[in-house]
Parts: sequence; structure tokens; C-alpha cells
Amino acid sequence: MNQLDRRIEADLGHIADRATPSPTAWESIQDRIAEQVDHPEPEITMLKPNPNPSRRNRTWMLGAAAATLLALGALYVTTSGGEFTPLEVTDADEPAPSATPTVTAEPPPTTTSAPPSAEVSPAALATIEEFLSSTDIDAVNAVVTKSAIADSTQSALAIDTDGWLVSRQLLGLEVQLLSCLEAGSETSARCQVSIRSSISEALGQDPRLRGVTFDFSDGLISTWPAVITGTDFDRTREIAAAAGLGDELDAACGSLSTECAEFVMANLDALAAAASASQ
Amino acid sequence: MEAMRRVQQQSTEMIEDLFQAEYVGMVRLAYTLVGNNAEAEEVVQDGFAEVHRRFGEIRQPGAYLRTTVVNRCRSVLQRRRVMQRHPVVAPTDLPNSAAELWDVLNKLNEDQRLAVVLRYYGQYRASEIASVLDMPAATVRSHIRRGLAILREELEQ
Repeated sequence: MNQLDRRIEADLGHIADRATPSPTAWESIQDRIAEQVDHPEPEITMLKPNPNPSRRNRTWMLGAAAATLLALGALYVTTSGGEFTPLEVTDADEPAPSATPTVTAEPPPTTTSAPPSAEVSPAALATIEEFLSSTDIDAVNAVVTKSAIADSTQSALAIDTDGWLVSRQLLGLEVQLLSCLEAGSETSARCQVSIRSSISEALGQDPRLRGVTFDFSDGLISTWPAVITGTDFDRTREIAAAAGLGDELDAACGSLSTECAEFVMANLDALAAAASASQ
Repeated sequence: MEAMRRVQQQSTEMIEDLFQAEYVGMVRLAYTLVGNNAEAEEVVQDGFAEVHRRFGEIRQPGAYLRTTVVNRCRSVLQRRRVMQRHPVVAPTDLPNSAAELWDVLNKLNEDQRLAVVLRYYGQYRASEIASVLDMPAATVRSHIRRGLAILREELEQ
């Protein structure tokens, strides 16, 4: 780093020091969020193009285009006094002005040290994704510590059976990772997940969104949310209670097992009726 | 309805965590670009609202926030250039050296200025700036090189 680099860094720091973040910023952001909730953006309905446009439609569109061109031509001649003037060409380095901000759909993860970041590391993110998507017990055990526990029980729960993996497949259970932030330290991640199963789909239930926490030790998951490996996989339990099958479900689904999956599948009609009645 | 409330609460909690971690840094970054506290806070607060709105779609809220803030700053600068009504006023009470830098930064074109500030204040790598500004890394390096040449020429006079 040369003298100019050091000077630019230092002076930009002096400029940034003049920023005075408002003490009421959080309240302002909450107001903006509330405004969004009260006045959500209108939903855009995508209409399918007509695969067989009629001659009449094509004629109408051609006519409209011609009329527009004629109107623009007339306007141009009127405003320019009939004289041709060259169009201005903008500098290629400078993008055309835009009234609306351009927002990249989803930027890649960054690993810079400044400004401070609360994102989990890419390695931790990959470990969580591996944990959630694996259907192979060896793959799961490769990303958890030997003494890993489920958060709600706080008792050692070694993943030494593939029962829950099998039932996950039977139930079509999918846990999708939506976002993750560090939860107070680098060894803890608070994530937003979406949980769905073939049952919730069959019952017409939306995926369940949950906030869950993973703890890490030496790069491996040491605590995982019980919701991922337990029976609280969707709203089936609530629906079963409404169907008068709550006790039976609890008995069959003490843990996420083949027995649990079979019970749910066997009672799908009664559960669907209860789900339908509750809507 | 209850589920919707729960999701909103979860997303608000996540935004609050992000606010604690990023707000001040984002306002400082925005300030180095637009030089105005009110506008800097405006773009950053809008950025947080945008992150909240797209909560279920984005995986890296911090990175998304940074991109949103920089792009909104870019829009502010473009709008100023188009309207020619709000020239960039230098921040007050700057040390002489920083005031001089501010003046010269305003002589750079917008992309050069963004690239230089993100590189030297944000400490972003060229590839990261490329993601934020949605342009090739080689173009970013070119903007930084040209911007630095102007800064060197003007500051070392």
C-alpha cells in the first residue's frame, strides 16, 4: 500500500465519521415495514400469450403500432420545427439515468471485514444445507459432532439410526433453508426454514416457516433444532387433534419413524377432512 | 392469520439482528457516496425495508442489503446529475486533506467514484464490487485504476 492509498483510506474514514445515524432509525425502519404490510405491492398476474392470435388481433396490433409511429412522427416534426437534429449519444461508461434503483436479485455471499457482517460463513451455510438435504446417514453424521444434541431436549441424541431419514423420504419431508444470520457469535446460526411434506401438500396446507438455531463446534453442528428431526414437521399434529386422532398420532409419532409415516398415510382421509373443515 | 403473524415476527426479529450489525456501517458507507446524512439514512432505511420485503427469497440478507444500499446511492447520484438541482455539497468540518479528497472524488465519474469508495472505504475486493455494481471485475479494476490516476494527479499537484 502506497502513500496515496493510505491517504484515501484515512480521508474516506474522516468523511464517514461525519455520518450521524439517527437514534430513532429503528423506529423509522419499523414504520416503513409496517407501511409495506399495510400496503403490499400489487401482485402482477402473468397472462399466458394466446398461442393462436387471430388475423383480426394481428391487424389491430399493426394498426395501433402504425398509429403510434405516425403520432410520434407528427409530434417530432411539430416540436423540432421540422428540422432534423442529431440524437445525443451518452458516454458508454455512464449508465443511462434511471428513476428507479437497480437491485440485484440476490448477491453472492461476501467475506469482507468492513462493514461488519452478521452472515454465517459460507462453510457453516454449506454444513447446514448438507444436514438438511442429506438422505444418507453417513452424510448426516459427517456434519454433526459425536455428542450432537437436539435443542429442545438438551440431551445427547446421537444420530445412529436412519429411521428418521427413511420416514423423511416416506413423508416427502423437505426443509428448505431460506436465510441464516449469526446469532450472537460465530458458532451459532439463526436460520429461517420452510418445512413441507407430501402430507401437508395433500392436506392443502402451506409450507410451515420456522426460525431455527444451529450451534457449531469445530465446524460441525453440535445442536440442531428438534423441529428438523422431530415430529413437529408441519401442521399434521394440529390437524390430527382436530380429527380426534391426536393421542394416536402422539403414540405413533413419538419420534419421526416409519411407524409414524405409516400411521399418517393410513389416516390421510380423516386428516384431510379435518384440514378441510378447519379452513 | 396466526401463521402469517408468526412469520412477520420472525422476519422482524431477523431484521432487528441485521440492523444491530449493519445499520451504522451502512449509513457511513452511504454517506461517503452521497455526502448527505439525510439521504444516506433514507437509502439505508429503504434498504432494510427492501430486505424485509424479500425476506423469504434471499439467503444472504447482509450481502443483499449492501447491494441494495449501493444501488440506491447510485440512483441518488444519477438523479442529481439528471436534475442538476442538488449539487453534492461537501460535508462540513472536514479536515483539509479529507475536504480536498471529497472535491476530487466529485470529479470522477459515478462508476469510478463508487469503485474507489467501495475498494478503499468498504475494503471490498474487485470481484465483490463487481457483484454489487453488476459489472465485470475487469471493468471494476479499470474504474479503480482510472479513478486513482485522477486522484493522484489532482491530489499531488
